[in-house]
Amino acid sequence: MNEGTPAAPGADEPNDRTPAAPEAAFDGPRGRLFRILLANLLLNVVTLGVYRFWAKTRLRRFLWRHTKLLGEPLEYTGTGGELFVGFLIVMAVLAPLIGVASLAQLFVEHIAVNFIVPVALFLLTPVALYRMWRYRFARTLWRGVQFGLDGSSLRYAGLWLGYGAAAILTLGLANPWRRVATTRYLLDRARIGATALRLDVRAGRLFVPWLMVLGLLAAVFAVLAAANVPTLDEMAAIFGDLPDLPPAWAGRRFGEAVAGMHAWPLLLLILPVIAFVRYRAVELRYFLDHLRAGDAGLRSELGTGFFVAVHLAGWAAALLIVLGVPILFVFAVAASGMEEEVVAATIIGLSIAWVILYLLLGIAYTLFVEVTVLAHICRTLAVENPDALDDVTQSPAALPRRGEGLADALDVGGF
Amino acid sequence: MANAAARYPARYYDGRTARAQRVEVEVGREGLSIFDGDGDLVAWWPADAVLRVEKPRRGEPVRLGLEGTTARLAVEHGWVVAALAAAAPPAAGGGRRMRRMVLRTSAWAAAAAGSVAAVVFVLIPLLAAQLAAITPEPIKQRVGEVALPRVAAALAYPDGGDGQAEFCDFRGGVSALETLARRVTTGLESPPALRLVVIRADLVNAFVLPGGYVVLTHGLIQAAESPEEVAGVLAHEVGHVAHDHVTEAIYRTTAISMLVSLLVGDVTFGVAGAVTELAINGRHSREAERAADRYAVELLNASGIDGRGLARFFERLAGRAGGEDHPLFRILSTHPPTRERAEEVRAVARADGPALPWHEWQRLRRICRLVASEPRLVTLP
Repeated sequence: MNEGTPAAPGADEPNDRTPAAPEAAFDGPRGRLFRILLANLLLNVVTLGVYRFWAKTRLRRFLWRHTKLLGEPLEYTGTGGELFVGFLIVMAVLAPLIGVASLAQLFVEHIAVNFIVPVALFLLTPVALYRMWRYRFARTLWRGVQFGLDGSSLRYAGLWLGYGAAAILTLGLANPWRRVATTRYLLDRARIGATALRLDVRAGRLFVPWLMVLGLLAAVFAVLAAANVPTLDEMAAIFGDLPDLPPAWAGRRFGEAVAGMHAWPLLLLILPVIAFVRYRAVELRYFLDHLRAGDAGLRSELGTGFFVAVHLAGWAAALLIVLGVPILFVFAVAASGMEEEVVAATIIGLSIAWVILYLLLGIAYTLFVEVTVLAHICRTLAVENPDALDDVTQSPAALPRRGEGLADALDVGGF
Repeated sequence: MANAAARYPARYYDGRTARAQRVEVEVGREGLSIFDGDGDLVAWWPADAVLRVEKPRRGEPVRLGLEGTTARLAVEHGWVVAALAAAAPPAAGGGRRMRRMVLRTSAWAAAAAGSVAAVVFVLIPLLAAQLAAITPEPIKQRVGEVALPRVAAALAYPDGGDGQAEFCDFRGGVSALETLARRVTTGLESPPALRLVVIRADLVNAFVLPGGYVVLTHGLIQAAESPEEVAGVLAHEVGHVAHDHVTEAIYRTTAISMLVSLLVGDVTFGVAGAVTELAINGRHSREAERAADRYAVELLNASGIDGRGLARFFERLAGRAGGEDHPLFRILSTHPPTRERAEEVRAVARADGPALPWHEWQRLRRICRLVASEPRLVTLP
């Protein structure tokens, strides 16, 4: 992967060794991050996951303190205890609801009952997301001034669900409007101290990159269909005008026909995937480039090609390991012709090894993909009119006391 | 020892605005004095309220904070830490605070673990029993009615597949089953409402569903060598019905699996929840089996049926199953060791009457000669 490139502290020093600090930077050393992630993983396993609140806190403290704006780092002031208490509160509310719904499944024999809990949790997702961001903003300090997020999580949920429905109804065409509406709602209500942030963006500017994603997706399916158009003879063979054949035979022929289809166009799906990652990069750059706080603003020169390359390389490596290791193993067993007991023991051993590998893969992904991207985002960021930030004053607004319980319960938000 | 009068250059953020102020910091015995460029005092931080925001790193300014505020100080010179420690050893740095925090966190963690254990091992089982007792009979019946075809299908096709359950429907066998059930419950003054049914499945099994459903498998009837053995199993299941063990178990299992899975999150891929559930349920389930065994022997004694049939049946089961004595098996198993149960039953069985006449027993054994897709229930009383 991209070892030794961007995020390694000091990699850019020859160019940047100016007296003034870079306007934004992420300089977290990978070695220290690796130790944090590994310790978090082990402690999570040992405590059956209860440590996760403190694990998240440790990781965030690291990420925040190494993210520097105008030379001054962010500071994460949240604690694991707050997250834990937030989780307990949500559990106290959610647990009885889930319990009642589970019992209802026993009493009412209607398919709809089985969907009550998943649907309720889905509807709560945007609420959880907004509350999570509120907590993260409120626990972020920069130059002695607290960030904050006002606004209502219910309004946000309304936008999120409404625009989500619109995006589905328009076969995805409305997706840029969904992204802009939800992101704007959130960032327009965020503030540094008493100074409100402002995101001045229009979805129309994102429409063309998004159209490329949908267009390529449609093209792949068109190729897939074209490659598999059956000739008249084949049609006859599949559906046959042979009335004396029992229907099951026709069905079997249909199955054979499906099995004989050309699947290679599916490999072309990589094209819309690339277009999608590129869209996310373009969107991120556009949003960053138009984010303002008072008279100060950000400028982003994010490299979309770099963004796409790092993600694709990371996914390819992950795929290679996740799929490649079991496949290699199967071939090894097939070739060696071991005895049954030995094979069983080896399979158990390797399954455990595979789970460990899978967990380590998560760490590697953070280290080499997420951190690389974060460092690149920071490095390509500039602050316009930074002196305006001197006038930012502390906000008297009260801080939320408890953290993120809902987001944890629903497992949204990543880290 | 650093010179107490030394002044260190620093950036000061007063916590009211985001403006950086170039200042000089002097470390005194009582605290930090912060002077601006003109040498005027802008702030004074008492030593016991000075926080180290993060562990100092070489090449980075030392970041200090004032407790209870967002005011921050970035001191370029790492010596300030040593000076602070020298000036006000006990409070600077916050080692005591750290110890207090660790202590408090451990105390809370222990309390949380204790209360979770209390909820799982005491509160939920108690609540489950109470809930089972107050659940209205029609609801239990409805649950049993809904569950019966599903459970029966799962037992008949243990390898999965979506076959339909088949209920044994040979008229002579069904009436023999009714005779047997009436014979078994003669010892009770007011027997619980029972709904008996035999399903066509090769497994040797018998179980109870809410609402008085007692289900026997064809495999069990074939495995029995005398009507007294089936009578013993039936009496045992009547014990489960009388105590309503199954409704209680449903409440308990649902509550515990939910609690554990919420608490643990998804780190262990759901393994922790399943194991806890199995271990806790296993304990309760083994107690329930013992209670049903005791109930069965008393009932058989009262009804004048030879209780050694049940013991013989257990002994035959024990002969089939191996590996029961493994400690892990004993913890996770839902039933007590079969040999032990046989001995306990044999010790208290007193009566020696027959359960069914020979010709009725022969008809019962042929109960699955006809099957139906709807359950053919024998309803008592």
